[in-house]
Amino acid sequence: MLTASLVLLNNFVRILFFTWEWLRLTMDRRRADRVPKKRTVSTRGVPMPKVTFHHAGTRASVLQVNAGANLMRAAVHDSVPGIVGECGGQAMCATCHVYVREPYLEALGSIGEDEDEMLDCTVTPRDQVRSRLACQITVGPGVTDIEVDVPESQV
Amino acid sequence: MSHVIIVGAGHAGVQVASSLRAEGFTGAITLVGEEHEHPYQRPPLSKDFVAGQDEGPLLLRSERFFAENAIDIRRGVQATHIDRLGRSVALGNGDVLDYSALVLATGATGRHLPIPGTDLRGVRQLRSLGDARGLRKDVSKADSVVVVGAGFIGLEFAAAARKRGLDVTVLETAEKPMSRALTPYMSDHLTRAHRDMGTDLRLGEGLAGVLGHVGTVTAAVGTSGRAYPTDLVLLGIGVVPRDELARSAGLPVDNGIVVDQFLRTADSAIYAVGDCASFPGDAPYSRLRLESVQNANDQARHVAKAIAGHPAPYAALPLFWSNQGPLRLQIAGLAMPGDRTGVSGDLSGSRFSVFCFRDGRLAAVESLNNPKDHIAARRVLASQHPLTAEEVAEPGFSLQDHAKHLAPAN
Ligand SMILES: Cc1cc2nc3c(=O)[nH]c(=O)nc-3n(C[C@H](O)[C@H](O)[C@H](O)COP(=O)(O)OP(=O)(O)OC[C@H]3O[C@@H](n4cnc5c(N)ncnc54)[C@H](O)[C@@H]3O)c2cc1C
Ligand code: FES
Repeated sequence: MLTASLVLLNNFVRILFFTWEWLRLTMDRRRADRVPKKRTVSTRGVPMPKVTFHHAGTRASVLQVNAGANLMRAAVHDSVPGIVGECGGQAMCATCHVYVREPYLEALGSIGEDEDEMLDCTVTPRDQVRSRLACQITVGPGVTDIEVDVPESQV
Repeated sequence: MSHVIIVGAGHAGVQVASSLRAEGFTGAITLVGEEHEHPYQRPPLSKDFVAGQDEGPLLLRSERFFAENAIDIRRGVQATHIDRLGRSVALGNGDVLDYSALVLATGATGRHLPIPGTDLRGVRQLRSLGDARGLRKDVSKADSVVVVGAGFIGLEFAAAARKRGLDVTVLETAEKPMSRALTPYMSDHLTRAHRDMGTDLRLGEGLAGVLGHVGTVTAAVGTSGRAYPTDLVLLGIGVVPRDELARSAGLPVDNGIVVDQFLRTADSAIYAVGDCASFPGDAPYSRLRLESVQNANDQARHVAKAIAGHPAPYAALPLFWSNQGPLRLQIAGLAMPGDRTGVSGDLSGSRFSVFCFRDGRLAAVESLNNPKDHIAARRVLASQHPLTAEEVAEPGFSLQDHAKHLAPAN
C-alpha cells in the first residue's frame, strides 16, 4: 500500500515535472520565435541586411541579419564554417579574420587601434586593404549588405 | 555500437562533441547539460554583457549545429550517477544511458563563503548566464557595488561597473591581487590602473560579513571592521571544480578529477577535460588545473582525437586573456612566484610585456595592450628553442623579430 502510494506520488511528481518542462520549452520556443531570424523583411518593412561569407571554391553562407548585428556573432550563431571567435568579440584572438570584398569596404568605419594590431597577428596573412575582424563590424546604418571571404584557417 | 556521453555542455563539452565529428567519429554522441540555456560563451559575461543592455548571450554553436551533426543535446538535465561496471550514466529525469566512452566536462562552481549575510538579496556570484542576467538587472538599479576578491572575473566586472558609473569598491585579502597567477610587476600595474579608473581597491581587506535590511543587502563589512555601504555585493573569490559525480563513482579527485597525461581518469573509459580536470603538468608542477577557454578547447580536441583512435600525451601551451576596461591582458605560459622577470615596452604607459624566466629559460610572457608580443610569445614558447635570459638581454633584442625566424607554431 505504502509502495503503491509512493509510486503514485512519484508519477504525479513526474507528470507535474513534464508539464512544467513542456510549458517551459514552449515558452522558450516562443521567445526564440520573436527574434526575426530567417525573415527577409523586418517588422517595419525595411529589408534586412544580407551578409555573405564566401568560402574557398564557390561555396558561400548567406545570412539575413538584423540591423545592428555583429558579423562575428551572426556567423557563430549560424555555424558559418571558418569563423571561430574564441575571445568572444574582444578583438583579442584574431580568429574571426575576414577579407571584405572591395565594393563593401568604403561603407565600413575605420579600423580601430586594437583591431589594427590584431590584424597583424592573423594566421592567414593580412591583406592591407581587405582584412578586418568580423567582431568589429556591425551592419546597420550605412552598412547594409556585405560580402566577405573567409580565410583558409583561423587557428 | 559506440556511444560517447559528454557530461557538461560548456566550453569543453561542446568542443568535444564538435571535434568528435570533425575527427570523423560516426558513433552516437549525447551531450548532457544541466543548464536550460543553449550552450553559450562565458567570458563575455563579466565584460560587455553585465554592463550592456538587452543583448542575448554569445552562443558557442548555432542551435542548428547539434541537429546537423547528430549530437543529441539534452538541456536542463543533470547527470546524477555513473555506473562504471555497467558503463552507464543515470540522468535526473530517470533516463539511463549506456556509454562506450564517457567525458566529464563539468566545469567549476563559485567557492562558497561561510560568512553571515551572503544569502541576502543583492549578493551575487558570476559563473553562469543566469547569474549574469540577475547581476545585470541589479547593476542597472545600483549606485554602488562591493566586489569581493580581486581575481580576473572580479576585476573585469569592476571595470565594467565603473564604465557604467557605479561606485566600485574591491576587497582583496592578499597584499597583491592575483599573486599566484601574475608577476608582481603586472599585479602592481593592474592595481594602479584600477585605482586610476576610480575603483577603491582595498588590499589586505577580506569580507567579514554582509549587512542587510528587510532581506536586502545594505553594506559589506571588511575584516578590518570597516563597513562599506552598498547596493550590491559580487562574490568573486574563485571557484572549486565540479568533481562530485566523479567522486561518487569512486574516481580519484584532488582539486579536480585526476587524469593521466592522456586525460583519462583511473577508469580508461572515462575522460575529464576543462575546468574540472586535474592533469599532470611539466616540472615544476606535479598537477595542474587550469581555468581558461584555451585549456577547455585544447583538452577537448585532444580527447576527441583519442576517442576517435589517435591517443597521444597532452601538451599544450597555456594561454589566457582578460579584458578589464582599457586593460587588455594576455598571457602565454604560466608565470610562477619566484620567476626571474624582465619588462620590455613602454614602462611609463600601459603597453608592455613581462618576460618570466625559470632555470634561465623563457617560461611565460604577460602582455598588456601588446597583442603582437603575445602572438610572438606563443610562437617562441611553443617552439623547440626556448629563449635564454641572456638572449633577451642582448641590446636590440625584439621578441617579434625573433618569432619571425621560427617556423609557425601549431
Ligand atoms: C564570467 C567568466 C568570465 C571568464 N572569462 C574568461 C576569459 O576572459 N578568458 C578565459 O580564457 N577564460 C575565461 N573564463 C573561464 C572559462 O569560461 C572557463 O575556463 C571555461 O568555461 C571552462 O569550460 P568547461 O567546459 O570546463 O566548464 P563550463 O564552461 O563551466 O561548463 C561546465 C558545464 O557543465 C555543467 N554540469 C556540471 N555538472 C553537471 C552534471 N552533473 N550534469 C550535467 N551538467 C553538468 C555545468 O552546469 C556547466 O554548464 C571565464 C569564466 C567566467 C565564469
Ligand atoms: S572574436 Fe576574437 S578577435 Fe574577433
